[in-house]
Amino acid sequence: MVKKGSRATVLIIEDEVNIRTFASRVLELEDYHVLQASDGDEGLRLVRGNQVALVLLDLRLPGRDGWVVLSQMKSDPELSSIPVVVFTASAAAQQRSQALAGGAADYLVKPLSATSLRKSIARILR
Amino acid sequence: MSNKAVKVLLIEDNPADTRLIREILAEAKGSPFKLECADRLATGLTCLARGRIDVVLLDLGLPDSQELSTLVKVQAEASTVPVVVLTGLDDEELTIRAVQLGAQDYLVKGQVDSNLLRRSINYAIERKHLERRVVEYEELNKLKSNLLSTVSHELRTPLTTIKGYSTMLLDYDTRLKHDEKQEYLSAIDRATDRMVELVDHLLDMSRLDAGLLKLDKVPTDITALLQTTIAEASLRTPGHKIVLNLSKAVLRLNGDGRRIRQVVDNLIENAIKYSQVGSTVTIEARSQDSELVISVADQGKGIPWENLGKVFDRMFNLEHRLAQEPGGLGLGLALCKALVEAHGGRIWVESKLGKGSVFRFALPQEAITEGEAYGEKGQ
Repeated sequence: MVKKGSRATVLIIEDEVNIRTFASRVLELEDYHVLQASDGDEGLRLVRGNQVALVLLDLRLPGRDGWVVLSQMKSDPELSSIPVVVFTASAAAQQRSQALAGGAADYLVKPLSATSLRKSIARILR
Repeated sequence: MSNKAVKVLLIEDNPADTRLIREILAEAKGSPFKLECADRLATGLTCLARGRIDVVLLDLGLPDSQELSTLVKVQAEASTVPVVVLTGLDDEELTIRAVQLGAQDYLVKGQVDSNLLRRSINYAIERKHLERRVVEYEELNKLKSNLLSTVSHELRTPLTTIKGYSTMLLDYDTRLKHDEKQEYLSAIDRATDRMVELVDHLLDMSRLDAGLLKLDKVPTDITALLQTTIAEASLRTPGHKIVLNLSKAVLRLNGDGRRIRQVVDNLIENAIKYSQVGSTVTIEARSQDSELVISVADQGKGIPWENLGKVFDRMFNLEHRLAQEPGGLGLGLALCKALVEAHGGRIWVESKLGKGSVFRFALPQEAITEGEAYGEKGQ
């Protein structure tokens, strides 16, 4: 298992409770400190008020969409250096390249296994 | 169209032309025509607004409207009614543009005889009918491709739950407590149920579309059916109070118990989804004018009046749900409508914003032969 030293904080922005629980539990078991938000506004509030090492972002959210959250984070000098891993139900290549071009550090497609989630986060926070 | 009188609306300001058309139509053998006349566009539009006009014969030059705008206004009032344009010898070009704009045909005044007029009217009606069918098929096609993308999205949500929790249970087995594992397993179980429900709805819908859904109509004890349905719904959703009011002890009708139960189940689930925990869902059933009327009332947020007519519409539900919230294909109410109509019944909704909605459906109570066994087929 990857050694983390001090516990890094990961913020999960996902509206679906089961998917949020799954992701946060896996990351807790991997010894990250986890924050959770169920919509974009709450997510942006949490990322501004905490020392967040990485954001796991669902692209399809009620209200302020994941795409909007991504572009706001990337255009804000205070937040732009925080890596954002997006995850989405769409495996479309066009969406993937659009998200990566928009500054996403990785693009994960649902359904998602515990292993692929763990590996993606570990690779970025290495 | 064969035996019914064809209702023709003639919008024409020249009394001589009107008289001529009236005489020609009276001569026509075969389909009888019923003629209404209007000498200005405004009067014609009022006639159209009343409905039940099969075809319009339209003079484009009227005291209160000229040229193509006359046609456009008629089409705006009644887009489904075919229009045959009446024209003089000298404005053929205008008439051709009218046809391009959607007029079914044009007739040159003074060259019209009984056969020609009759044929033009009948073809206009027939062509408009086919045109409408094409539009309907295009809409259906669009609906189906929308449905496909919604389905794959809706299936992915429970799939993500299943994949996520099951891989987590596999990977971290020894580090998870018993209670936590149980929690994840039941979430997997519920996600599976959700997928089964989605697949069932889709199958039913496609069977209905293909005309393959057969009703198994037998004498059915609706009272017992409602009692079982409500008892089970109460177990599933203990947060809501579900109440049954019956007008008399036993209500029976000839119907497919499994399908009627599906309708009631769907309506209850809908009521619960759109009302707060702790509120009451009331189910009532009564016999009235040889119909059995079942209603499901909630104390939810209600439906805005502009959407009341659309809630049973598949397309509406799809788009609406996609924008609003996950957790449904929005086929439930469309399916209810189809199942009720397959029984020869009808379904409708009344709603007050902030007070709640009442969904009602009425099923015909055909005579049940004495001695037939009553069976509740609700399981």
